Parts: sequence; structure tokens; C-alpha cells
Amino acid sequence: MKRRLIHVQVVVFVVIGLTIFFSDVSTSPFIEPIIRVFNNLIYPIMSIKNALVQKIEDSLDTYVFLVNVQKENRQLKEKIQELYLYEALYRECSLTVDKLGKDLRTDYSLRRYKTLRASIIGYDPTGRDNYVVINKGKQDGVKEGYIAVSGDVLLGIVGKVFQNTSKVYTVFNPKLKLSVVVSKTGKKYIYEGGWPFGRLLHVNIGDKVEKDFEIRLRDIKRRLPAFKVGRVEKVNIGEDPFFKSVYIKPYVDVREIEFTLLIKRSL
Amino acid sequence: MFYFLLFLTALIQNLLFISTKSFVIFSPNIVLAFLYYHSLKETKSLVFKGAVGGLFLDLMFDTLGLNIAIKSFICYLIWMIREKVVYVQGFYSHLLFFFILSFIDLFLRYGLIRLSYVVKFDAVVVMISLVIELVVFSLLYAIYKRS
Repeated sequence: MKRRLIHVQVVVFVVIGLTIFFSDVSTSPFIEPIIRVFNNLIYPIMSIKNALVQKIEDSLDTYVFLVNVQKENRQLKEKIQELYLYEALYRECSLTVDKLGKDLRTDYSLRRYKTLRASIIGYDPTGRDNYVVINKGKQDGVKEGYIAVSGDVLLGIVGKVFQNTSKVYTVFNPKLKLSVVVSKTGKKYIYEGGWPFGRLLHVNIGDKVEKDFEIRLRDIKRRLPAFKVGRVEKVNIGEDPFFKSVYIKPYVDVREIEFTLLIKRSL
Repeated sequence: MFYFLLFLTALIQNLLFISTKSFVIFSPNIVLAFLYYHSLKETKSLVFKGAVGGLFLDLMFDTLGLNIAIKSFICYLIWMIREKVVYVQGFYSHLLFFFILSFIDLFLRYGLIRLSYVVKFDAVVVMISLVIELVVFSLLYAIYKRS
């Protein structure tokens, strides 16, 4: 009899339990207040527990964050060590270049150049880009003959200096004549500005100058880097049968650039 | 007194569950350990007491009905196996028996919850909970042997 009661008891509890669970009785308005009272009873303990859990989680997050920071720090330290090595290599290279420069009686150290940054504030109204006006003049120490560059490309030479502004004759200006070198052959010529193409003067008929050859600035004293001037656009037989007409397309786009670097040194 | 201790046990079970990213059904089953411990002392059926323990848990975990059904069923299993099949003796036999019961309890909880909700099975939390359960059971068994 007693055993049967236990069987019945378990069946009743299981059935009631599952019915309550699946019918979601706990949300009904009759049961909810009872649950709320029970929850209020254990609320102080639960709030302490939640605070504790929150603190533990925060501590764990902080720990994980610190571990990550430590890992990152270690990686950065390794990177710094690697960079120290590169710095040493760079110093070695720099010394070698300086030594080579001395041996060849050249000076390629850009650090020795005094430079001046200037904004372009005016253009040639003829549209032929013969010159640009920059916002640096006599009071900034600008002198005629200073070289204006944009990156590694030659913009022109300072032609006229006013009190606050200067006029830079660009590589499109027919008044500009420069000593240049053809990169591939190493032969030296005179470059004469022009728009839209400059020209190489006195190129012998037998000289190897072809389309797309690069033309670079040549400093006779070999104190300046070989800034790019332009590339050969076309080669024709000149009016004088002993010379070629070589047209050069300058690299610089005068209307694109906004700033120029003046190298305080004349050619 | 028993019901007060049962309530405390349910409260401890709730307090021990500190994972906020997992579901409450994976909490260490301290109430079952306590019920099993109690069954060692008493040969009477614990179905009603199991249902009350389940009720405490349900009220705390907001799963009204689930633990009432499962705990009463597990208590019934304990009673039935003791009564009709074999009388378990020795610590390791008890431990193994408790472990099996705990597993049945866990999968019943998980299975029934899965019928209503989508719950990811958190194996790590389950393993930790099982270890805690077994430790608590071992402590209770030691207390039982001393008394």
C-alpha cells in the first residue's frame, strides 16, 4: 500500500511539475506575487552575490586585458629591438654614403641643404605655366637662382624675388636653361624650357636619345641630387642636319601642386 | 530543520552558479547531493522532499515546475533502486551511483528546457558543475560516515 502511494506520489509530482513548467504558470497573476515574495526574501543575498559576481567578472576582464597588454608590450619590445638593428644598419649605410661622397668629392647629404617650404599663390595668366608665384620673398631669405622642387621632381628656378613673394620660372619657361643628363646614357645636354614640351639642345645626330628616356637635373658641382625633369616625348631630325630635335615632356604638373620646397642653393 | 537545510542548500546552489554567460540549468546540483546524503540516513522515500527541494530551486531559478518534476523523479529512482534492485554499498559505489543520477538529472533538465527554449550546451560549465557536485557529495558522505 505504502509503495503504491510512492508510485502515485511520483507520478503526481512529475505530471504537476511538467504541467506547471510547460504551461508557464509562473507568469500568471496568481502565482507571480508568491514568487515575488520569495524573491524578496532572498533578494539581499542575491544582490550581494550579483555584486560579487560583477566584481569577479570585472577583475577577470581586467586580468585578461592586462595579459593582452603584456603580450602586446612584449611584441612591441621585440619590434623595437628589431628597429634598433635597422637603425644601426641605416647609420652604417649613411656613413658609407658619406664616405663615398667624400671619395668622389660629392656631397649628397640632404641634411646640409637649407630648405624653405612655400605655397604657390599665383599662376601664369597666359596658361603656358611659364612661372608660378610663391608666398616667400626677400624677407624670408629667398634669392634668385634657388631651386624649387616638388618631391623628387624639379619645378623650376627662382627668377625674380620681391619683398614677400617670388616668381619661379618653371621648366615650361623658354627662359629657363639647365644642365641635364640623360639617365640611360649618362650624356649631358642643355635643357631649354618650353610649353607644352621643353627641348634638349645640341643633341648630335648619332647620340642615342629615344622616346621615354628620363632626363634629370645635373649639378655641375655635384652637390645637388639629380631631380627628375621630364622624359623624352619625341625625337625628330632637326633643321640643322647635324643635330636632333628632342622634345621633353616635363614631369611636373604645375596646376596640381600646392606647395614647393625651395633649396637654398643656386645651380 | 530538514526543509530549512534544504532551502539553504538550494540557496548555496544558486550562489555557486556565478557564470553569467551560461544557463542556470548547468548549476552544480548541490540539492541532489544533499537529498542523496539524506537518503543514506533514511530508508523512507524522499519523493516529497525531493519535490520541495525542486520547488526551492524553481523559485530561485525561475523555472517553476521543472525541478519539482525532475527531483521527485530522481528521488523515486534512488528509492526504487535501493528497494528493488540492489543496496549500494561503499564510497565509490555511492559516488558512481550519484554520478549517474546527476547525469540523468542534468540531461532531463537540459532536454526539457530544450523543448521550450534554445539553450547552448555549455560543456565546460557542466564539467565544472559535476566536479563541484562530486566534491560536495564526497564531503557529505564523509559527514555521514563520521556520524
